[in-house]
Amino acid sequence: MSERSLPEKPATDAPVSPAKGKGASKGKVAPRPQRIRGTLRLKTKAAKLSTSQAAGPEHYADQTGLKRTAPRGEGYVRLRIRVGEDGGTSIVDSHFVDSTLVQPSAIHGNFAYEVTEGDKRLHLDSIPDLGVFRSFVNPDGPLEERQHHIYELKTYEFDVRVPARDLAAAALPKVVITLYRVKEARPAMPVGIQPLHVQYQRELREVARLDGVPARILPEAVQKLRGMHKPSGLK
Amino acid sequence: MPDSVTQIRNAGPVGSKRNLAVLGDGFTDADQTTYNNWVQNTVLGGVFANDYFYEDGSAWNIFRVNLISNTSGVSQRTYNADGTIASTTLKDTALGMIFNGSWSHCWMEYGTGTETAIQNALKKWVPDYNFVLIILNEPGYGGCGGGGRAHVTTGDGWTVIAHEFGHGLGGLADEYCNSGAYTSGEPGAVDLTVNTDRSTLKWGNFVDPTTPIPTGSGSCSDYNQGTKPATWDDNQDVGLFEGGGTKNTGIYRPVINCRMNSNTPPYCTVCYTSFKRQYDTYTGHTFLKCYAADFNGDGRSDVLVHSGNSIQTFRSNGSQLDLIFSAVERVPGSWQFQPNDQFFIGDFNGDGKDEVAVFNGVDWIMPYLGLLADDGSGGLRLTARYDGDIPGWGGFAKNDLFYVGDFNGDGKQDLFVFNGADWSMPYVGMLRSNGSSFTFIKRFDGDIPGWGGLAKNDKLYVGDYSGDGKADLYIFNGDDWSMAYVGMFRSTGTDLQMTARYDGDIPGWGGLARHDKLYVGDFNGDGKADLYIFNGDDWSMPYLGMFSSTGTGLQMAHRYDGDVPGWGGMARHDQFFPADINGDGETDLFAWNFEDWVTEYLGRMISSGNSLTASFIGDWVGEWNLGAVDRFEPCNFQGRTIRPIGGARGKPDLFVHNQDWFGMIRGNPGFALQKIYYRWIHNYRYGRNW
Repeated sequence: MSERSLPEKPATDAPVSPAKGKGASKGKVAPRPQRIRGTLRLKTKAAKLSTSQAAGPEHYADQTGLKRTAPRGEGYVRLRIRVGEDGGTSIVDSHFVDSTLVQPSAIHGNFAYEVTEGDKRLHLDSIPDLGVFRSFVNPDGPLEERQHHIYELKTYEFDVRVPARDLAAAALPKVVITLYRVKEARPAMPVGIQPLHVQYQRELREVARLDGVPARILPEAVQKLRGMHKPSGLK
Repeated sequence: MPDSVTQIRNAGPVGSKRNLAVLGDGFTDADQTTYNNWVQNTVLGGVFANDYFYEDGSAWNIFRVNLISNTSGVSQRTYNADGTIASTTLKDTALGMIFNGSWSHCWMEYGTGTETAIQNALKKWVPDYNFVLIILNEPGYGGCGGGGRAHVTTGDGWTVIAHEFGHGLGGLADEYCNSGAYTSGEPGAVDLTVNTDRSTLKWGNFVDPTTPIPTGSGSCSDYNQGTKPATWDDNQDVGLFEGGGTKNTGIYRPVINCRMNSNTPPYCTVCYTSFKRQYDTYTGHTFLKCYAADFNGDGRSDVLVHSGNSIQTFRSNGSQLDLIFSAVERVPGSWQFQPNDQFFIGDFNGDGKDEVAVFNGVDWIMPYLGLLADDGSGGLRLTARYDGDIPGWGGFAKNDLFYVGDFNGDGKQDLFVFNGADWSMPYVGMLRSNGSSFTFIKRFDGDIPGWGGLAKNDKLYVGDYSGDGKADLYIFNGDDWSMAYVGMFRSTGTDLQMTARYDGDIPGWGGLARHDKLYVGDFNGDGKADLYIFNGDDWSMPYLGMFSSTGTGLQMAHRYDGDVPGWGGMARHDQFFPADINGDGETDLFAWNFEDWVTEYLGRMISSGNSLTASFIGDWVGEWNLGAVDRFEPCNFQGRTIRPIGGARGKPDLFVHNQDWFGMIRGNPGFALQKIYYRWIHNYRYGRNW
């Protein structure tokens, strides 16, 4: 309970003289309007109206003038990685995305990637489906066609996202992008602080890896963050 | 018409959502309406209007890329039986895809420039896509999916696409059987297994202990190990059924029939939960903002959950909640949801069902007020909207505060509005509902006659203290004057007339004080709204007073000094929620304190008409771990027959909620947890998602 020194209330049948603080007491009529922030802001005179402004359903245009309430994110880089027939990897595209990137708290699905710089994780995400094409079932076909026809792709691509600031601050030759196959899915695979290959040694298998991110492929926004100038003629 | 993009679902920033890009091929300028309609009906109206994708629509941005082809329809190719090309008819289309109608050739294939055309379109129009759906203007059946893309025809139905999304977005395996025996190891997918050990079964938490394992044995089995229970649900009850992953034996699926088996049923418990876990981060859903409302007029409180730019409503059947409505970004009419929307529940059209008034004075360059009502199919739609002002009020402003009450006694709830912050004088307004919109009735500029001046920190409380069927106002001010005041203002239907003003005291209370907190409720059941007043700050001990309304004034019925018998001592941070807990027509109090004691306490203070008897529960209500983050909504989710009070029913129950958890607590005859949900509201036949 409070240790403040406060009075007890008078008994319910005791006469009360309300304790007055600073300022005015109410009168019978309202005091004059007080200025707010130096400006006298009064509503327009109230009018007697018999109809409403409502136009009825389907008559409203979209609300307009949405304010940006959330601070603009620092953006992220989207890298498209190609895995070749020999398992080799290459970056085939990169661009900057002006949005805040959410880091998943768990991995799901059949594949996952992780971007690391040494022991530091820059980002990770799950990839539900990779490396195959499936023809839809033929419901009216012969028995063998009442299932997917699976085509293993010799080369395939996937997308990697990395917060721009983290990538800009990273020692690019030490940045590693690792693609894992989820060999044994568990109902919940929360992400801890350890790299995935340590945390889920039993469940994950590395299927492809890219060592080092060339500075020249970084989008201009990241180049600026790194304090670099994009060398001309390189792409 | 040049190529373009239309974002048909704006769930949020691309980096915090998953992004679906829809591309069309073989749609000319003249075909764009066909394309748009197909996307609307099949993607939005099909896949995203059913089970998982409907529920978690807020995780998905959807971009419809409008690519203009020079010719209508797509190129065609036929194959000979030996797999050689028999014929090819090329068309000049945006992506150059070729439909071949051959299962063994994935029904369709890329032309020489297709991959480049797709990449270029994506890079230009949806630069951060997660999944691509390509639609061929081709009436024949067929589709080819994988690697983050699905290619379908306009001849495909939404259930086929939903099945394919199970693979492409869920990483789920097929659960149907075709032929042969499975001879490999444990599959990686969450919905197939070779494990028949109940204790280590990966979906074992969803299997009732009384269900045999395996549940179905033999080639592509149904339930054949014992008698299938009469209540068994082939889609939602989980067991272990042999056959799946296209194989007849040697591998097991979780349910008899899932969408990953035969397209049409909803995703099964295992697949649904896998989807939910996978994309929960991207939904933005929390249980922080929940509102109790009876949307279907069955007497049971439902709940509206607002998260960012989405809402969901869940209907009570008396013992649990089920999803009824899910809206992302907007409801038709339209109202576009934003994080700072404020919702006010009331029966604004007098139909016995609750509607929703919604106000936003923060997120847009002008304030908006809307009225959302039943859309005829369990959802909500906008029936009226006021942009910046309702004529007569003189302009909505950021700090407008709304209060619900039927001030003209016509059976339709109206709105009082107060603003003490944005103008040079405070204002009170009366906005009358005519059932489908609001009409400005009266505005009080700076004063309601007799009150001596509205002031910045006036606090309004709605209740029919005169018992005439019209909602009146109590106003309290403990901050702006040299003493605290309570005023009583009776509604005439079109005006407010002061019937009493208490300067510094209500007889028997011993002095109004700055931190007095008022709670309105008819605690003696006479049809007049009375007042509870609590003060835990200004005196050496906390006080709770009961003041009954005479219709024109207040009369003290009881004052509790330091304790209400049974509560174990009032404390500074006691909070109260007026509600008729025991259904006797007298408004009681739920009491809550999480700050002043070593544990949290939830109490019931039952009114006898002029006194209170309390009881409480500490720390836990069943499995619900009471905590500082909990928020409570008095309600009546059980819908038991309770004597109506002024047209409203009693509220013996509580919805309790915080960021991640939602609970249903019965309040009578004592506290008991009816249901607890984590992260999402779903009623598992057995087991839970945590």
